[in-house]
Amino acid sequence: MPATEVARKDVSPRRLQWLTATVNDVIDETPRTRTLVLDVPEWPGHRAGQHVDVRLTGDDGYQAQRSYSIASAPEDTRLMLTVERIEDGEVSPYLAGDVQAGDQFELRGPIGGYFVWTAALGGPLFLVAGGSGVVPLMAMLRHRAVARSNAQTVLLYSSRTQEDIIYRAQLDELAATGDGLKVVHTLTREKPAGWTGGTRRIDRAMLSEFGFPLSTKPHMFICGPTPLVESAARALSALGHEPARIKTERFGPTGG
Amino acid sequence: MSVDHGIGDTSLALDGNAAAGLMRELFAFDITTARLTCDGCGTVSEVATARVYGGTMGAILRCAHCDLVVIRLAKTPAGYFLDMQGARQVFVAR
Amino acid sequence: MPDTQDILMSEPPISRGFRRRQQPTDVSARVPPGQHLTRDFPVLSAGPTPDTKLSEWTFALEDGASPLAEWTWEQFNALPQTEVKVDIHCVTTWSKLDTNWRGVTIDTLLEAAGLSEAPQDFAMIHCDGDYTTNVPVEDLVEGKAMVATHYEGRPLAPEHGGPARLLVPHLYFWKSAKWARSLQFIAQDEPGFWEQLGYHMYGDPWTEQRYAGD
Repeated sequence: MPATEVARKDVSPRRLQWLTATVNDVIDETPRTRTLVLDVPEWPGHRAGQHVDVRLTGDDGYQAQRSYSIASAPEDTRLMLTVERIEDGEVSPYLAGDVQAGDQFELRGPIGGYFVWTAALGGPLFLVAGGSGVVPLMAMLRHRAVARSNAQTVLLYSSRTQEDIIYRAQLDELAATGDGLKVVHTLTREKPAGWTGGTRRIDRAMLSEFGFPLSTKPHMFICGPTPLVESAARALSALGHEPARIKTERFGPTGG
Repeated sequence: MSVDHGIGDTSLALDGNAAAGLMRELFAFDITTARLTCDGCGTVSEVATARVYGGTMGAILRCAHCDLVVIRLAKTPAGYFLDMQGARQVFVAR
Repeated sequence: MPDTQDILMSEPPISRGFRRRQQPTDVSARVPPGQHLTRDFPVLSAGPTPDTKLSEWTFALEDGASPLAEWTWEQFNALPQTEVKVDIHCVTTWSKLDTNWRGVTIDTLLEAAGLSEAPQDFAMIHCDGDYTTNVPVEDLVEGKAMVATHYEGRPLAPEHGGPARLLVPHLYFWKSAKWARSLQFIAQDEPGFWEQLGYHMYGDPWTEQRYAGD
């Protein structure tokens, strides 16, 4: 979809409707995360980084609502959400566990015009992810690939263990195309044999090593658990980056 | 987003992105990109950068710099209660 | 809460197999309408957890703008303590049974202040972080409420309102204001923080007084 068409839709006053989403396919990404591939007639389109609200209705009429980042690129034919199953969660065990093709729920969106990257914005692009915070950043990387952007891009991605890395194979593929994307992994709870990535939490030294020089004025997006987002944002700001170019989306206390 | 930590656990703040859906019910546009001037400290920043509390009771947006409540919004059966006393000014680009 | 528009449109699709967690039926008589039991203790705050040092903490009783009494942390904890086991009910629909608290009842505070009764019919509770809530005096006295400092035998954790919170368990739990610092007696009932945003002035869980007009 051309960039200008998406921008017009975002600005025009339009009430956000609840739309019916039908699960077309379910992809197990890691032991705790799953991607739902959805058919949503009337989906108005989105920009990478935005999210949707999902609403479930039980046969007793009980409703629950949660927000999920969109994992798919704006150009993808189907909408995709990647859901992490949270211990004692009410909705995520259902979406990341019980749901199967043919099931339905409601969603509305796209929501949030702040945490958004389009290829037209260019680079350099520094993406910092903690756990399931990688989801909206993956939408950005998928969009970047479809748009054939050569913007210098780094994804610095923290996971607990190797098996918790979401989209690992796809990230390897995207990084191998040689179009200017580098993916750096770090693990916080494991030091597997043969692992060549980082083995500690994201800190100022790592952000300095893998981020871009101040003079290049990179676009920076940080997403994940609140503690990771806050410390990374503070560190990037302390390194001298303009706070206005550091965009954050906090997921709350869990994950990472 | 992947916000499903129990039933309203807000011991660690979310940011304005988390309140975007609720605010989009009331405002006919996305207010998270609007620039708000905090009446407490004068800082100007996008509504998305405010810290959000209140869980499922309502959206309590506080200035990221001084913690003053800049926007309060609750959705009740009677209607939406919106308080923006802490917002000296809001600028929405056309 | 369904929107008016939702009611006008067709019924929402049922999400096959989605259910809220069940509660044991033998305690359901203790669970008010619209509530469900939880084993955790969810945290909901209107702002960041304050960081008040005990050496600077005080609790005050006021009659309008006039101070009646004030206690430091040491003085407060030297007052007669009361322990209670109560059920608590949050307006966000979770209920928790048999919670144990220890603190100083409002009756004890009035007595320690030399008052035989409260000087007004209503009260506003003021807290660190600018949170407020209003409660009628008759719902605070005769053992119905305390300023609680201990939960399950341990000092009240900051995210749950420590050092001290009001505890008024027969009303929805937003009335049990966290980080309480003063109880101000007032002549007329006035809305506190959530009440200004459309929540019920009184908040009885048994008649589901969640919002104004309920």
